[in-house]
Amino acid sequence: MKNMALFPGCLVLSLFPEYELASKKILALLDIQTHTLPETICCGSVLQSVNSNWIYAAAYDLALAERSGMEIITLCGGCTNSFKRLQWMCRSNPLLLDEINEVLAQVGLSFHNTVHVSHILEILFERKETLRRQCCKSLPLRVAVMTPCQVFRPANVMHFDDSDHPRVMQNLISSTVAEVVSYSMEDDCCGSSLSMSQESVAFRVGQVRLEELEKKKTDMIITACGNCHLLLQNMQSAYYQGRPIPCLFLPQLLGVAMGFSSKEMMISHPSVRSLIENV
Amino acid sequence: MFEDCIKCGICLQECFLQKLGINSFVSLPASDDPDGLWICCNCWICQEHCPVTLPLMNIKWQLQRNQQPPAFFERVLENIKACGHCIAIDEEEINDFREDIGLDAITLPESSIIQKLHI
Ligand code: SF4
Ligand code: SF4
Repeated sequence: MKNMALFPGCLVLSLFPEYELASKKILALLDIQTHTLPETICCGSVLQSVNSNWIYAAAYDLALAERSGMEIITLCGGCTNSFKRLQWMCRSNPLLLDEINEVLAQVGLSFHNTVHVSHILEILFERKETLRRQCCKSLPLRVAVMTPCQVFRPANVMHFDDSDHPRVMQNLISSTVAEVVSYSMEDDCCGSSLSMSQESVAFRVGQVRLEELEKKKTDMIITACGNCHLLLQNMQSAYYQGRPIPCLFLPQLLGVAMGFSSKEMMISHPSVRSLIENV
Repeated sequence: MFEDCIKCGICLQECFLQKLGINSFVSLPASDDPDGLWICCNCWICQEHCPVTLPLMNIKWQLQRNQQPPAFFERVLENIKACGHCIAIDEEEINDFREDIGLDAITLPESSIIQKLHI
């Protein structure tokens, strides 16, 4: 069993414990024991618009992981992006690492930029053959994918799949558990972070996506980021009056295919439960 | 900031918000229209396709930092200062819940840490 540090991030910690729990459970079946990192703070992603000191927030979290001696697994696009970009910035500019360490010394930490950061999609994709063997149950569902774009872009930093047209989620799902519906917006950002500056714009983006997915007779949307999930699930009824399309986090869907019950995957949505449990 | 921009309009064509008829951040470099400065979700597509490789995201953040942010950002900043996270979290409450569902307990950072990190 490999030990790894899990960084849930603000959104998952406060709103989406089911994502963290399902991730831990399926990773354990893939021989990864995860430990949620204590004392973490925001990854710095949102701070970038207001403060150039976001780098200290990201570096603080990475330094905590380095101290634990474990690699980091992230669950959201924004956290993955700010961590990996900070690492890239420190590699391109060694003076920045010194500057960061002066600040971190004030809180008794040091950062060497050695910790490995992976979004859960990267962990799952690296183990896709094992995953395929472990998925014993396929589900008669038509699902659409909401790719967390910041896990893939910018390409020179993220180095993961085709950054303009990532197909990692589609591959993982179609080879294990369900049919994947393709649609015109599948390479486009969810738009969720717009809800912080102009909610109506975020809602418009969500609405266009859901209307297309309704026409395509999509049973559910599969996400791998708290921010995408926030707009597409939690805010859905505020901007979309059609047939509700429930969202599940990818580890929840895979967990069911691996033999966990809906309850164990914290799937509470009645329509999703009936879709899954009637198999 | 946009001195090297050749006004080719590729960022406008690539931005998915523009494709939906939404005036986004890239209207600024491409058409000198600053109204969309905060209408951007950091998807990086415009920057990835800019033929003169302008660091569009960094430029955008720098411009945003010189402005009063939308009210939501202020609230987020307050929450981070109070508990380290964008959304207010109470340690005891969250750990009771986490214990019930079988997740390990978390510890919030000491409040002085946020200050010392200059956030
Ligand atoms: S980063 Fe912003 S401006 Fe650029 S393509 Fe994405 S949403 Fe549009
Ligand atoms: S793609 Fe680059 S060069 Fe072309 S208009 Fe946009 S910012 Fe300017």
